[in-house]
Amino acid sequence: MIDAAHALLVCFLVIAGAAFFFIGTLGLLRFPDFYTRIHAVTKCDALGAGLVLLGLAIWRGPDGEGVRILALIALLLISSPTAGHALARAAFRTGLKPWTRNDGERDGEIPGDASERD
Amino acid sequence: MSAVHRWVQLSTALFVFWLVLSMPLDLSDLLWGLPAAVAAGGLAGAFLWREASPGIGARRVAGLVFYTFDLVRQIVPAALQVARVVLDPALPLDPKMIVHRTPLDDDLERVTLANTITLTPGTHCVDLDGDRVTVHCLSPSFAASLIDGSLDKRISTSIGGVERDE
Repeated sequence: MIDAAHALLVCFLVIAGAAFFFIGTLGLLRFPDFYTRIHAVTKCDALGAGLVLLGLAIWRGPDGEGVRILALIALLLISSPTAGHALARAAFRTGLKPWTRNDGERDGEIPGDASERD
Repeated sequence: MSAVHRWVQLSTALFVFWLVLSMPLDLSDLLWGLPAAVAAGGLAGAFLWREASPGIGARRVAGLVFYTFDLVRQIVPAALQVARVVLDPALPLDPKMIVHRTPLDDDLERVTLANTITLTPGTHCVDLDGDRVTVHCLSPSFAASLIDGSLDKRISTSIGGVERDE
């Protein structure tokens, strides 16, 4: 009974992690510009991989390997947003303009004027 | 703090982390890990903590662990909201850049704030310069807890240092 609940919890966490990867990838494909896409990618890394790793840690139980996976989660929670921040900051400081609702409407009226937008 | 002192501290921290990851230990783990930790510590020391050590004591480590659980509670509802935006055929995005002035005045608190913003779905920190935090959000509603200052408060109650009372 406890084994079944244990396995069920692990399955739930791993599937939830995979769902995050799926939604994040979908966001990467559907979102309009660099800034919105980096939202999707960063959350994939941190939440998707974090949930999958948490599931694996619970699967292993409190032996050496489980503890090591928790250490990896801690590393992930620091490194993933830091890398995302570095990318976004590089774009921001080089003057990349974020997409806004108005751009989208203008693009809708005049297809292909994205290169002239400023 | 001198450069050598900083190098030794960072390399030690990295080496301990390496040991935790590579248990059970054998000789080759030590032989690979030690030079890697020394090299990485030297490289990081060129950038990190140049002015002062962040002063992470036991109380702050406990605060950070507590805060991680708090963070998960903040992330889950935001993640569901973003999932709804991504899956909506109309893609109801309204991205905005927001400049927030944080009352947090300690490096560790500010880094925690920036990483919290980035980890929380819907908001992404793009610049951190002094007390100015520039945040890109998918729509203004995602930044509500940032704008009303409740995020700053949560961080300062979890890991706030004593030096803030000056």
